[in-house]
Amino acid sequence: MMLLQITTQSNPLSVSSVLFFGTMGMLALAIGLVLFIIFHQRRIIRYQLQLKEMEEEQQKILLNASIRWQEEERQRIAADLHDDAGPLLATARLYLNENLVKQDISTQLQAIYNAKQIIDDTIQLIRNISHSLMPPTLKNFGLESAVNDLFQKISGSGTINASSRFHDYRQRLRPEQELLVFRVIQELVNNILKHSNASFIHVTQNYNEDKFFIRLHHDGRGITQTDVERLNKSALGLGLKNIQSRAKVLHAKIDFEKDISQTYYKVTLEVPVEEYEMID
Amino acid sequence: MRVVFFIVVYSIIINFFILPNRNWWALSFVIGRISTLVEFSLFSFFFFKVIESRIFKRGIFIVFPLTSAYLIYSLVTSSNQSFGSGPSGLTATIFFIYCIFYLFEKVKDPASLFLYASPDFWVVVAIIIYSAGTFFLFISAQNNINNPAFEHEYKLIHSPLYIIRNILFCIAILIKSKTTKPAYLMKKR
Repeated sequence: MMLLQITTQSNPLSVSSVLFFGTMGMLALAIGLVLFIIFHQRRIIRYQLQLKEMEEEQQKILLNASIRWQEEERQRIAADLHDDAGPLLATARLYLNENLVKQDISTQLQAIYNAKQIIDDTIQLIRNISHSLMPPTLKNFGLESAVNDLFQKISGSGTINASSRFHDYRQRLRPEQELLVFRVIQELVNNILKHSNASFIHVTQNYNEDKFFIRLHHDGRGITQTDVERLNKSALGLGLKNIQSRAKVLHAKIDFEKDISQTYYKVTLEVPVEEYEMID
Repeated sequence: MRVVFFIVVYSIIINFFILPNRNWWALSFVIGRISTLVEFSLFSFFFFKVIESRIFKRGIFIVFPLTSAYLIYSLVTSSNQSFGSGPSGLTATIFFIYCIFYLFEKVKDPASLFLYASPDFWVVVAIIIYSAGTFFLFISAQNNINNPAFEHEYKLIHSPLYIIRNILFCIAILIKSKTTKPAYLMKKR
């Protein structure tokens, strides 16, 4: 500042040019700075909008997948009722028609016995449908028992070795959370059974720093996060999209990766529990 | 915004009622020095309010008394017939630094989008343009203010910048303060 004052004092002729160029330079600097900030902000806004659009697109895909899954589930229930329960009840009705009273007593007893058998089968069928909608073990005894039960059934088939271990499940998640976690596990296991050709599935549960972890290992053909992202953009992978929409409801993170040993595939479900109340 | 409103009112009083009055003309340099002090105090208060960084606020706490002391010293000791280039240049530099820091803080903060919808931004733009535009003018004024050619240039540069500054202040006062955070950035709970 002093130097400039001395310069202008010693050479009055250059005052005008110093003033002109100095002022112009400073103004250009100031206006340039302000314009840079404005354009930078606009770029950020555009970027945020793009992100928002991508998020909306992803939401739409998940919603569509969820609707399609619901429709498929309804069709399955409708098919079960129509193809299995319908014919069974129609057969029972045939046994119990009005001509039965004209038959001899032994024929009548036989017809009633057959009708009773068919009605029992129908009850069992409807019970199975009901259990597939809401597993009673999950409702009554919680996630640990339901997963153990599911894995015992899978192991019992003899085709695959399935085991589960809950390390720290003294405090249960809320019932709706348990159902969502169970459905995610069910869907993952279903995918493994259908596509991976694995010889074992192992599920472990842990609780660490306000996070509830479910880790699922298997030794078959698995998928990694890159495959999941690729499938998310395509119309395929309905089950995967369902898993993700359930994870979203849980505010959970799900990771598909290959184990460090490169032998196993691992799926990790990380559910934050600080936002939720846990029930004893 | 009250601070800015006060500055605008102060500018109107000085430029329309005091300086055109021939009786006050002799004291125009003293009035200029007092204006520098008043503006420095008010703008420092404004920056103290709008800048969020605690370290920078502490910096304002240190810079403000030191600069004010220098401005008062300059007001008391300098001749009534000389322009205060030192105080004006110093305050312009300080404002420039404050403005750059404010803008830097806003660029760093991802939540402060739609910056130009905020009145503070327009006040800062006004200050930075005025400080940058008048910096060289004020520095060279002390030695050249009695030169009629320079006086002409002084008026030519200072008056438009002064008008622009006050227009930008008016824009800032008229803009309704909106939230700078878009709805989709609000945390869902």
